[in-house]
Amino acid sequence: MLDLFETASQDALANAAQNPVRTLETSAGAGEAVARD
Amino acid sequence: MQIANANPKSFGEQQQRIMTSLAGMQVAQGASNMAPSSGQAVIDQAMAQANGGSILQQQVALAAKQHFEANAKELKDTPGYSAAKRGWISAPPSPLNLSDPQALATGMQQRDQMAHAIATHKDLRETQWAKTLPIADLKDPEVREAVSDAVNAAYASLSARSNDMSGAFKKDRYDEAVKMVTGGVLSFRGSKIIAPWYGATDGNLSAAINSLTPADMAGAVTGDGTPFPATMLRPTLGGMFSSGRYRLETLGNGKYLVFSGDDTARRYVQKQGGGAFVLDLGAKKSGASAASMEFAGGPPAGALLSKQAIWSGGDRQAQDKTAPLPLDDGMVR
Repeated sequence: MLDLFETASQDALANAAQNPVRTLETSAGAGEAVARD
Repeated sequence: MQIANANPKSFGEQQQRIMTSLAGMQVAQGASNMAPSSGQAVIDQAMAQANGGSILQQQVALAAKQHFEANAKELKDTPGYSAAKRGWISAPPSPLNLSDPQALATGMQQRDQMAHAIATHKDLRETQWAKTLPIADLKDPEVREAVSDAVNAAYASLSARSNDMSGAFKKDRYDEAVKMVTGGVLSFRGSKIIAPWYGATDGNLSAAINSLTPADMAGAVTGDGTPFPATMLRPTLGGMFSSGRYRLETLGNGKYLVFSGDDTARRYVQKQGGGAFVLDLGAKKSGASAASMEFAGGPPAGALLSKQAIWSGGDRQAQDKTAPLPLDDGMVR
């Protein structure tokens, strides 16, 4: 079952590369880092 | 990891393919509501094979897909016969008797009941499938169809094992079929992901995430080049994955993309030097699964075939789209 995803993964990787998280920052309230899209 | 290198063609492999294809046929036949006395043997075989290795899983799923297509055609061509065989209606509608108004009315009523039963059964499964793995979390339509068909085959076989020919939809049974086919669907911060290895539990996932080291995340950066640490994925307050901005998206083989944003505008953590970063949680199996014996004996690592290699029965000419994934390029070990 696992490699049923092989071809789909190539499309997903290409899409992900074109839509990056831009920055990493720390939110003031929760004390955890969040991304600024 | 090069999939082709891990799976040299051999007589044993081909023999295994044939044997498991036959098993897959039996699973699919279960979907057509085989005799209950046979259902037990079929589902036991399917489950044993699902636990035996990923090649077996894939081949069973392939055969189930092929035979489900045949069953779908049967349902389309002979709906009354097929619906009755599946237990959705008690018997095929009688032939229409146009010379007897009462018989004609009865025949039309039977057809109405048949259409309702078919539509209901189909809708419930499709609805549950969409809830189980939302399109946002598993987008590829071909993969969705293949997995869904295999789940439907397993579901029908589980029904047969339970001597349940009612046709009534059972969610628990559906969930069991999903687990059997996929190895598990887990929730991570609101997203649904395929388990990092066959049978991995929520606890295994937590352990795998918590065991991530800087080396596992080496090369992971945001678009401005800021390193992306493992702490971004770890539990926040309360020790649960209930908060935190970053989620996972299934690639398969225990590998995931890391993203933030809502489902219509996902943005992904990148790999230093170019491309998307790929998180390998499958590599965490040995440490993270020690506490769970629920699915002892999962697929052996590396025993993988490409989708087209399976769907083409080993015909390399049909594998134009199956150059090995550059996944290793996206990971820094």
